[in-house]
Amino acid sequence: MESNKKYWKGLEELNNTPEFVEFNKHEFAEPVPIEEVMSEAGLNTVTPRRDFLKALGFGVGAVTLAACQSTPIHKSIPYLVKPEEVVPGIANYYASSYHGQSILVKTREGRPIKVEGNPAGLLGNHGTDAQAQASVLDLYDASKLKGPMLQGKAASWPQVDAFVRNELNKVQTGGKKIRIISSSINSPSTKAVVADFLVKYPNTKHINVDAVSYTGIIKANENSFGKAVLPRYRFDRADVIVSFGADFLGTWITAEEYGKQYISNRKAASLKNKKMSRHIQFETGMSMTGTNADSRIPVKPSEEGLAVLALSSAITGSPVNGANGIPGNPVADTAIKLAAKELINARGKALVVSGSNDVSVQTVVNAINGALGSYGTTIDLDNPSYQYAGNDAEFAEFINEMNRGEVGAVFFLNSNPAYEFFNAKLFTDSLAKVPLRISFADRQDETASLCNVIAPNHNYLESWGDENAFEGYYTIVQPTINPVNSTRQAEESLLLWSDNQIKTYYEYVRKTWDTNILPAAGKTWKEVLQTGFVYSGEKAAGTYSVSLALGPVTQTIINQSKALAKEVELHLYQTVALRDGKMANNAYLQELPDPVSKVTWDNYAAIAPKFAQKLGITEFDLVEIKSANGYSIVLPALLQPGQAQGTISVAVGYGRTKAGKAGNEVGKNAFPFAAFTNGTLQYTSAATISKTGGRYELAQTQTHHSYEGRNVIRETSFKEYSKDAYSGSGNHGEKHKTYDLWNKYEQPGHSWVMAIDLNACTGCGACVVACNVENNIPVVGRDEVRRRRDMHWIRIDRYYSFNTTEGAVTEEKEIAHLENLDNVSVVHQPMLCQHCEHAPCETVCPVIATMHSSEGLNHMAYNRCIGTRYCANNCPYKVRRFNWFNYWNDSRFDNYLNNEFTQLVLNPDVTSRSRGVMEKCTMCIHRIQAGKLQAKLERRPLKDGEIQVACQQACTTGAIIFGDANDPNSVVSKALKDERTYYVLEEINVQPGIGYQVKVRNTEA
Amino acid sequence: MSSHHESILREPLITGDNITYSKITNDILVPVENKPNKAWWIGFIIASLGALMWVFSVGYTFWFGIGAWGLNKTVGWAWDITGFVWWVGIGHAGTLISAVLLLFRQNWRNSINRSAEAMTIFAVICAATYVGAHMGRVWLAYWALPLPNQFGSLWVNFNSPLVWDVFAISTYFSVSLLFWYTGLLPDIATIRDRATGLRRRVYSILSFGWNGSVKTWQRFEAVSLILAGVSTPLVLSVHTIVSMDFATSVIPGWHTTIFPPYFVAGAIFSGFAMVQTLLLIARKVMNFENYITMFHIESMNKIIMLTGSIVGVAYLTELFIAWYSVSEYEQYAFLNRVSGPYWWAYWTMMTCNVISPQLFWFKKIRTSIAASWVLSIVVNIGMWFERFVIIVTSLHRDYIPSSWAMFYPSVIDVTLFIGSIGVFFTLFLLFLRFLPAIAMAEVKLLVKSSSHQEKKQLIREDKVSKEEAEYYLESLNTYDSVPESDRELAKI
Amino acid sequence: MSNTKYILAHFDDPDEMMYGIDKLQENNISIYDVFTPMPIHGIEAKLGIKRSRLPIAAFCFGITGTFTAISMIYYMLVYDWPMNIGGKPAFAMPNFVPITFEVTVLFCSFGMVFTFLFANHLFPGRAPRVMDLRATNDRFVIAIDPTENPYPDKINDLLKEAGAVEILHNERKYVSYE
Repeated sequence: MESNKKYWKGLEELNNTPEFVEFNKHEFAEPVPIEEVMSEAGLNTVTPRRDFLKALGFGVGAVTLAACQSTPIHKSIPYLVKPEEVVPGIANYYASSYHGQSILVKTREGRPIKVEGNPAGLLGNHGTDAQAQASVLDLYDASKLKGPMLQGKAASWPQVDAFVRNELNKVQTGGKKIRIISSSINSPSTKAVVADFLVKYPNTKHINVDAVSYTGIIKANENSFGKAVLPRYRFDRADVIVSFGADFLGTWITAEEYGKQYISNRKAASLKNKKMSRHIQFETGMSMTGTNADSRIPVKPSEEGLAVLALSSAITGSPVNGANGIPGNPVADTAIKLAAKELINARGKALVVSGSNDVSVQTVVNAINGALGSYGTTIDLDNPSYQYAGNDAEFAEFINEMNRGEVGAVFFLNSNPAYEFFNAKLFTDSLAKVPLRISFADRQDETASLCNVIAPNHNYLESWGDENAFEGYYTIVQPTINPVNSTRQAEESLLLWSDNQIKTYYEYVRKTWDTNILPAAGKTWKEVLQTGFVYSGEKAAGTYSVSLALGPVTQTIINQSKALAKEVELHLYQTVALRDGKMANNAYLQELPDPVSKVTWDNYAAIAPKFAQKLGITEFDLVEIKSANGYSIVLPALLQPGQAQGTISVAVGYGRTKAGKAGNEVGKNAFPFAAFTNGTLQYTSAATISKTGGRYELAQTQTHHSYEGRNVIRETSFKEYSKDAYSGSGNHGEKHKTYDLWNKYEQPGHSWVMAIDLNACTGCGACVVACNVENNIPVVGRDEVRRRRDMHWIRIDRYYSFNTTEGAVTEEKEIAHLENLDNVSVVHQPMLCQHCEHAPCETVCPVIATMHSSEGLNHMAYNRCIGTRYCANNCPYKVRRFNWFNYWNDSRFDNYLNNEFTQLVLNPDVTSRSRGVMEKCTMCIHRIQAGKLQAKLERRPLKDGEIQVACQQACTTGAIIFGDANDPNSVVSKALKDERTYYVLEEINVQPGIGYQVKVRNTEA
Repeated sequence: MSSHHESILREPLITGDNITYSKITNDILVPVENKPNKAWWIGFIIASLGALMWVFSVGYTFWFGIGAWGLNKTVGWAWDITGFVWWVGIGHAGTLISAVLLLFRQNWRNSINRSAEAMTIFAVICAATYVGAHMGRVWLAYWALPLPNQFGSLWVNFNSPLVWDVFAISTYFSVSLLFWYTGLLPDIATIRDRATGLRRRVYSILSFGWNGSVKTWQRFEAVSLILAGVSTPLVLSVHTIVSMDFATSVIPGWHTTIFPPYFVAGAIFSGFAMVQTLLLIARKVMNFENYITMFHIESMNKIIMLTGSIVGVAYLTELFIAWYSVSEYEQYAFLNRVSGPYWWAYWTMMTCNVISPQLFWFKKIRTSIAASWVLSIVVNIGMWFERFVIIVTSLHRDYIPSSWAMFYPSVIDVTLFIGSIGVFFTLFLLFLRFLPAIAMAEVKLLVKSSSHQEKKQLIREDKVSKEEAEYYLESLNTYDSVPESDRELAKI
Repeated sequence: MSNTKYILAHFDDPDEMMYGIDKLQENNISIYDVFTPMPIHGIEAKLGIKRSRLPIAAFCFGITGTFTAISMIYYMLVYDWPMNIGGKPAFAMPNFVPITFEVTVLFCSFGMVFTFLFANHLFPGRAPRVMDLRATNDRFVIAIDPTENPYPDKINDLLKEAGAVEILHNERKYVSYE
């Protein structure tokens, strides 16, 4: 009901005085002097002082308030049209493939941020190698071209197309040759595209050439068995492995696959049923594979061939004429004889490999394997690997053609001869004679900058495609993001230029699969997009043996060896991180320490300590290396135990000049040392070495190389282990006890722990890069690493110990007195935050920035940290990392994250740390949370193995196991009950949460 | 009335003739009441240049980050905490002299405690600057205090020795300041009553309106005594707590129960050395020979010798225990100190701290001003190296050999340290300029009891036996402030 | 003579001043106050001044500090937000001893000094109640209130006898600092 209350404005209204009535007429009680103001006078009246001050006061106040503007605003644009599959905060995974390996690409809000191995995939199962992990950074590489270039100037695609078409027609009419130079292509679609191109331009030839060539093996197989293929090696089927300089765990063919196979015969599972393969390595430089060998014998490059011959004669029993063992190296000589015995005993389960690219050597190796019955068991010629198909001879011929001016057009697809080819001068000179030079490089690299057309290719994360790593195994490449720059798939360009009726490469790939691959596999395209690959299964592997006489090859080998045998022999190798240098601009890889030398950001001349002594060279002395072909470079010397006496090893893949901000002028280019002999590229050479007088400190992440006999590292021999599984472990596993002065804190829910099998860790460093990418760990650059400020949360400690007749010597002061440093054995130990129950770091933090979680994790609250560094000092494992500078936006570290584009690679689940803050391994707590949340949403308990931490996920060999100790059936609890389990520094009772498993060597002692 | 007189056998604490109360005032207030002399200006300019260097170094560090220093992932503390502990150590003499010696009724403290306390305060200031500067995010330094905050119940970690440090250092600083200023009140009053114009006004404010009435003096003495009482354990606690930064850790070479006593001894050691360094100069430049006599110098040298020997014993004990512990990490840590890459630091420390003070067994050296001064400097160098050895050589090679690293100081490390010395001297010189360097009131107490002239008087009046008189005069031979004539019985 | 506020006897020797005090007291002349440049031991007994109670105050302040510290730590680390720090119990008493001690000392010394300043009405900028400027330098001054002892000549004689170097009959109570 409506109220009829009446409110008075005041007593006046009540008794309704005449004044009130008068006032009430007007809008305002008091008359407003509006006319006065409007009149001249009003406007002209001078402002009184007070008013002025008021105005001033207001002005100042207002301006001050206006100035209270928060830090500069970065405008962000929300999805205007939101793609339905993208949920902010939820990652999408796309199956794709990298270097023939099926992978899963993790994307967040449409940005690929992480690469994981496809658990179902065949090469190196769930794990990946360091390159794959780092590859995501290349997508965001600021040094890439923004668009196509014509005659060295930026151009539009139509212009480029017009130019190229026109030029190609000229070439066509002029009857000149067209050459497509590419690193090995195993993609069926790409091959088909090239084939189609050939149809349009018949005088075209496609030449595969690899920076590091495997022609030797292919040719040898052709000669021996009429099969010009790379066989598929099966290290998992081999009980005895003898390798002559083949770094099959690090860089040789498909290393991560071999690693997985190899370790499967050496890790916990296989040790449990008392089985462990035996691995003997003959090599020049200390390779990662060498570090894992049970016995490793240094041999000079010149002796390698002889060693192979010696072995073959020892096995076949028929002495090879002209070859009588290894005269210069009695140790190797006897080792060969012993190895031969072991191989013969393991007939059918033996495998001999050689890293040499020399046809003759490989032929002899084939003979040996044939004699050992390896074909059909440990070597599979019928399911060959298509990873490498490079043909050195064809490329050499191609250069001649160019010189003769027969070539009218050349395409470079993922190939960079101006840098990679040993005789770059010859190549560039002859290239100049080619009128149409087209590069598909994504940047203006050494070769591309010599081309008159650069048609930048997509990054693989932007492209469609497919790969065929080995027989019957087809993987799909699907884009995970729209092309960032105005680039175009190389294949698409070829299609367009060859006026193919199919205009887009996607359709083309579809066609290839629908017609050739899918029917055979009985799968649909959709399924493939989800699973990422099809595998038609293994063909039966036939047995082969070499029938042809070894006479001639023997002779070439001996001559070769004679030619090499100078007082200094040079040996080229690839580093595990950078391989052939194609990814030289990848800061993650540049800063990944070499598994053996722990050097970052440089290559170097590795010299045996004793040999260096003889030459009067000390560590980090700059030495000039001059090879037979006259090429010479100056590099810092690195004293490398285990390096063969009288040799130097230098890594290729460095010294790029046009790779980009991070990769330019890092190290020196060693490719020119290679030589083209006997129809293949050979990566050895006679050389001279001389001190230049200068010094250059290499940036190493580890500078002390022996473990001082501390039980941080615990080793045993397979013999001992088979006798007593507890040998060397200090008898822990289920017997492991911890002691508390006070009541232990309950961990009711989960208790996150980790088990690391030292026998399964090959030291490859994939985990390190995986961790970097996952946790936004800054790359700090050479100088900072030199200052020992690398930020890696997980590092792989590498220790040398020297075997003498009195047993292993591990202490620095004793090592100093050793005469012979050749017989070195190595152990790799992944070291990360141990998440101690009694964490020393927690007690000392003044602000409780680090404390313990109820799930046994050692938390680090960056926002609370004031940076006293006390925790890092008090950490017995030295795994805490301090942000000395603002690495992510300090112009002095301009090799990585210093631009908004590259910052797109950051993982949004992990905050990037400001300067002055401590950081360390969190056991990927964001993944743990995500996993728990998922389980909670699905109203189910967490499954074991559901949560994988980044390092574990990247590890091909499964050396790292993470899980819940409260679940007695979890893999990790079982692993920690293993007899070999021990805890690093358990004697100081910090109660680490990570158990290590004793390193077992299959040696006599 | 001869009740004041102490035994004739004691050396005099005040020398010189016709010492009167007014003379004392005049002598001591010379630097305060007159324009500073050249020596002061030279010193002040050099010192303030040093202070500027400090400002620059700290600014540089704050701008770019702690990376400006030579630290790395293995050695997280080096020159910063070395400097901190060094300064705190030096800061121990003042309160110790004024407190402990007061409790022990050591009258000779009266003429040195004032400047010693001033030195303490300035040293602690320098130490505090290091604590601030070494933080990665210094703008959040206040988080180390248990303050209520917008993050709700987010408190500090009272288990952390660093928080103990915060409390210890701040308490020590404020209490020393209190002690020092209370003692200053009567002297400021003296200046006030002799001054005119603006100076009078200023000093009048500073004097809190002191008038030497009986009650004031009575309470004043009560306060001094109790402050001395609480300061004594405070002094000991402070360096004990500083030592716990290391002792409570797990790092071999740090994790040592001997640290508290050993650090306290070291602190007194370096503190007295620094007092010696400063007073020997001040004494000369400001003609305080009559008030800071050879007796003072010798007594301080004796203390330096004693504490030096204690520290030496501690070093040897450490080595013994390391060997005795049969813990490979401990053993290596100390082996590495003695013979590792930083052997030179260890042996510098040994020479400066253990061997050099032993020279004071010789009276000649003990009573030679030049020698005392040089050795006092040597001792402070040694004490700096002690901290460097403890911090860096322990950290750079601890448990896991893969992380072993060397520490190389950066330019900023060096300038920051030299700069902090500059800051220290700037403050000290300002103190000499504006406040009495010697506690006048307390020295006046000694005039009747232990001044040379009184003792001469006694001898003249044959109040003492001949032998005693001769013994007394004998003891004056070392005094540079007593003329030959005063040393022979005949001439008196 | 009536407008004499105070009679000030200057001595340049404490012993003579003490003697002077005795003399005056023998003649039942009450002494208003004595101003000296340095503490004179035994004088409070003569003038019958009670022992200072500052030590008691100090003790109380100290105890307060102790309890403040313990309760603060208990509240912050045990009651308000207990956490697992290095596996140690929330109330790790041994770790809290140092801070408890420091806070005790802090409270004790500050409390006492401020009590002292308060008791003597000392604070920055207070106009000094000084009767003679030399009392803070080299003179030992006995102040006598003539209104209570209205026989100046006698006093003069006594003081002279005791060895006073100067006797002033101030018409102004305090020295002016203006």
